[in-house]
Amino acid sequence: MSDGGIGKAMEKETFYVVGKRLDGVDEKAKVSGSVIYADDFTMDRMLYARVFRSTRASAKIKSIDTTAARSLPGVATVITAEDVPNNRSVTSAVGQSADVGLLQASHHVLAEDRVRFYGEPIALVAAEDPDIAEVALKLIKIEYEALPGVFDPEEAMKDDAPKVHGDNNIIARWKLRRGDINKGFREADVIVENTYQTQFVEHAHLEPESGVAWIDDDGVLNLRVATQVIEQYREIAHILGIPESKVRIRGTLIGGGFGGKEDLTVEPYIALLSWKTGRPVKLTYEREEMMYGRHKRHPYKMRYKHGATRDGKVVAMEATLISDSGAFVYLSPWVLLYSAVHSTGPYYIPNVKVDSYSVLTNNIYTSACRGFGGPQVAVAYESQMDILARELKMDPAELRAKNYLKTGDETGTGQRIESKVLLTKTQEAAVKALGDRSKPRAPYIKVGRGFASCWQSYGRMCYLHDTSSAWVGMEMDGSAVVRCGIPDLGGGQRESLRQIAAELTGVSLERVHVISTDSQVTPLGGTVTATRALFMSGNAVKLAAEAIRHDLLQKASEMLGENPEDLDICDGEVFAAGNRKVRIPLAQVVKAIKSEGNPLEVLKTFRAPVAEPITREIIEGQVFPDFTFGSQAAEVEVNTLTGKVNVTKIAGAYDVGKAINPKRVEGQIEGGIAQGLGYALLEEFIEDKGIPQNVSLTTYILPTSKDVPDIQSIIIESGSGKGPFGSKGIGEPAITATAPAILNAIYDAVGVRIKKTPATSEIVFYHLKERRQNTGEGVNC
Amino acid sequence: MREIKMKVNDEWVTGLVKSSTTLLRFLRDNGFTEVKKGCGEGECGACTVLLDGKAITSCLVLAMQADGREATTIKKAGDQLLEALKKAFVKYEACQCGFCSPSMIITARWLLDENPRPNREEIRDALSGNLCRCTGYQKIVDAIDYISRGRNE
Amino acid sequence: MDFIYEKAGSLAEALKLKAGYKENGVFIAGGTDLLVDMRNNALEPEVVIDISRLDEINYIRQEDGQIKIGGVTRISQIQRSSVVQRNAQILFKACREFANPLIKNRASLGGNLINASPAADMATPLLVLGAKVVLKSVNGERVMSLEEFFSGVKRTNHRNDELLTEVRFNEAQGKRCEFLKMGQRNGTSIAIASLSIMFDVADGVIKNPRVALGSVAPVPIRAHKTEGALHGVEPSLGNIKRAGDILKREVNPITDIRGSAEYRREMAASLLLMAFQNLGYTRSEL
Repeated sequence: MSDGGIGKAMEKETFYVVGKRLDGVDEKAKVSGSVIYADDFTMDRMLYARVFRSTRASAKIKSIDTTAARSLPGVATVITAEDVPNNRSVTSAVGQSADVGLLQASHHVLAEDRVRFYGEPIALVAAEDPDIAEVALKLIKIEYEALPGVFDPEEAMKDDAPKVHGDNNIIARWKLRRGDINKGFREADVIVENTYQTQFVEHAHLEPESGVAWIDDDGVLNLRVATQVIEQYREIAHILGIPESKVRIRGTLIGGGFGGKEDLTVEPYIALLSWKTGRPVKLTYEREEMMYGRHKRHPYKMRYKHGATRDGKVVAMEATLISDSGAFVYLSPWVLLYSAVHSTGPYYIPNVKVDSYSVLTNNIYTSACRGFGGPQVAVAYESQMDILARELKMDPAELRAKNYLKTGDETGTGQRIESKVLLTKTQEAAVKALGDRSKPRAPYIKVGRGFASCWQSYGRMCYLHDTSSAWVGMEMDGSAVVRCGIPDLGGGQRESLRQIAAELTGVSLERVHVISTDSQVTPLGGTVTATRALFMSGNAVKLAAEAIRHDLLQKASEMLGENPEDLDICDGEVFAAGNRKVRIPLAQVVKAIKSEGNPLEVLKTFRAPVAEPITREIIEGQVFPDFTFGSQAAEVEVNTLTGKVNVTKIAGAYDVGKAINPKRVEGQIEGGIAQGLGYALLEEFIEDKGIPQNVSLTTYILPTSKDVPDIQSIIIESGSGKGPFGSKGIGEPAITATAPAILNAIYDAVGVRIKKTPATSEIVFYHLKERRQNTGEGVNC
Repeated sequence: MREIKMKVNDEWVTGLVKSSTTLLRFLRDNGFTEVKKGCGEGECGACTVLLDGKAITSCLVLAMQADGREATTIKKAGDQLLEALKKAFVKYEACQCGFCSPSMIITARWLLDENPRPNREEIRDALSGNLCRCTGYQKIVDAIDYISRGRNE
Repeated sequence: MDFIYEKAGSLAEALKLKAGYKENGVFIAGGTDLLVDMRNNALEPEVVIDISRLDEINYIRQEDGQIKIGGVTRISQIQRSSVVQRNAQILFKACREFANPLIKNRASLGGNLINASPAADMATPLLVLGAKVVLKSVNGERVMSLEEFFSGVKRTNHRNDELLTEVRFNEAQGKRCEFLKMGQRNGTSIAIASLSIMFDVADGVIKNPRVALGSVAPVPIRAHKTEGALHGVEPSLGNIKRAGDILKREVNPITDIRGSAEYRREMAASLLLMAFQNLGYTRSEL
């Protein structure tokens, strides 16, 4: 029996909303200043919290005396570790529950007898106003006894190194093994071997970590907080020793995350203080506190060796990756896994040997940061490819083209690439977008160009059995409500859901209300991390909206006497696709359906592709649902008298499968490129024996509007993604290729290879000086 | 503690402040939460408001210094140029997370008073005290450039 | 502990208050250095005397062949001034590189000099202009050369009852000049090294060169030896490089988070050469 044409009607050919450069509803609220971010929210009788933090990198806490702080008028309470019901917090798998054995990570909510990094939280203060809380911090008396510390990951790997936790500083190891590495290098005509070093980087989202906690009249602990993961309510419940059903996280629209609001930040502190005092408590980090108190991007030391044949086939790749996990594990094992999997670059390489280690030190702890281990290895593999091309006297684009993965190829873990791979197209588009080469504006300026290709997964690791749920319901008057837990970081996560729902239900954009990010009200959509938001929650909304669409078309076809496959819905009207005069208001259809006892509300769960848990150190098989492929090209000016590098032009071209809203995709590419520029040239969080050296925005250098040039963003749509309408993710891929594109451009300009990020003026200057001494070449004079 | 009185977006606001209370704190405590705190040391620009028509970082002004003066935030009504800038920001999707948007728009508003038709380089120079971490500045410059070019006609 | 806030309604009142509080009272004009220092606990004054709206010392005047700028004049005002653009181009160029517009709308000339950072952007152009500062107190007035004014890192030779009310220098029209600031980025930066240079060219040789550098010594400095090496010689590549070598020995930089001492030394010479090349010299030799 046929389905009456519904199946055919469900395959959309004409798009009214998806793919259009529509103005977002949330943006209007943002420009009007009416969005209530986490710190903008106040409640009656609210207390203000501060965190008392360690000023030692490795020490025993001999004694701590909070009496003076407690007795200060206006201080409501002071909390230390002994007041925390469950002080050990497990973060082995954020938002899900996979126990992965050795890789189980835990951190202390508050330090017990020992501190392991400068900035480690030791005590919490809540007071009637922020100034009193600040004074209270100064009244806490603490005595430390220095313990030996270790600050370099390679040092920390040695048997006799001071141990940060337990008896082994190596907290994660992953390997790739493919083919026969020795045979591979024997086949190679050219071998290129180098070591690369990347730095600690700060997310530097403009909005500090912030939240307010209170107990509502049902006795439920509410947290209104800027977080990328509302599923953390489970962890809060565990810390307090209360049922998970009694903790509710209401996420706010976030002023930037980039992984900085992915782990627990203020949540445990405001929860504890509110639970203890019975009053609302607000905590907002100071900028300096964000710098030294909250995790950073992992620095990596990467030893790479590539072998290629004379005709440009890469036949062997060997790498050792060492990441600095800092003082606590957090997400280090998974960042390392991402790095290992992505370490080959988007290339088919028959013989691969990768050994990777993540190592504890007494530096600041490291965890999620946009790209999650992808950008670090891209610095290495794209520098290697550029060097290889020059060794082979081959055009760098030609070398890439000969080695890019193709559909059906297997990656370094043996995962088969299912999607189309349009890397050559992205590389050509990015380079072309630079236009004519700029002329040097002064005798001491040299201009150079470089590009880099990259890959970055979207969707979480398959073995986590990721899901995302969404609810779509129609109102009597033909408007619609979407409920989905996914937080919105500013990347328009919510807007994409609105567009998808509007497209499929035919409700006009302004009449679709999206309510999101409430752990007790909205179906859990999962984390906004791992470039999964559109893929997972977009698909969940699509499933729910399609089910609604099905019922709408069915009923409309009865009411209009038309076949369902001849109907479409747009702007609140169901009509015959061939003849707009045949139409009926959507509201009428909705009312008819509801009157027959169909509430026209659908809850759907989208399930990502699954794989077996990764239990061995050698990673094999499908790790991620899919990858986004792209390239970036940069033109730089190098001042040969000072070493300063200025990016004059930059372009990014990505196959995003399908752009739900091209403006938003461009925005991600542009933002990723700006962050990548900072990564390549400006940003480094510096610690000296674990003591932070730059905790202010005057000394942690972010790109300003004068540092980022006009950016060209090019969208390519293969339609072969696993997201809604064939889309892929772009959030993280946008940053992955920038740094190596810039480093390759520097080489093109002045013939020096910088293998360390950031490539500061001083570093470039001394490389130039050395080159002049070695080659006897003058520079500009 | 002393009482100060200042005009904010056409309404008179009074409040008790300490000597050390900043204008930023005074504004946020009095409900003007569209003025954001990003760093407290004048580096990020999120707290930008117009003070007697000049764009400044309110975290570096003592509230007592603002006594009797006039501040403008993006919530000021009836300013056509401000409304045009907001529309341009939406059209060009110059907001991602939106946290820098109030300050970007206010600085742009001041710029257009000083220089009615800035070119892109002048726009970038004017915004150099306002950090954005999401957009890479591209669409912010595009939006302001659009308004600037419109004023050519 | 909160501080006492006093608003000075006039210059006389400001001086009287300062005479009363001495080192326990600090002046606040733009607050762009002071409030940052207070946030970092580098400064914990008992009293803050607000002079930010003292129109009496907010002016840019041209009289008797001199340019006179009031201590509370904002950097943005100086940048916009046609008097400055015509008669002290070097100062105008430095204003362009100063922080960012939001800071410039508040920061005062006096504040930048009193703060006396070795990196002070207003210092090197004023040093090459041969500027003098006027220091007033209830006891009268002193005039001191800017070179003598700086005594150490963030230290100046003003007394604890004095206010810097004016900076003055001779008109300097038609000079060749260049201001260069080497920062960690294009936007708002504390200089790794900065240079101001002003000179004439007559009969094919450099005349009356004045060279000042920031961030390469405890104070912003005039490089007199380098000036000597440049005076009376052709602006050729060889001569400028030789002067650069002298400059490298004349500076006394430290290593800090922004750069090493050695790099700063190199930058002094690099900026000198860049300045000449920007002004069009030595290009025929390349």
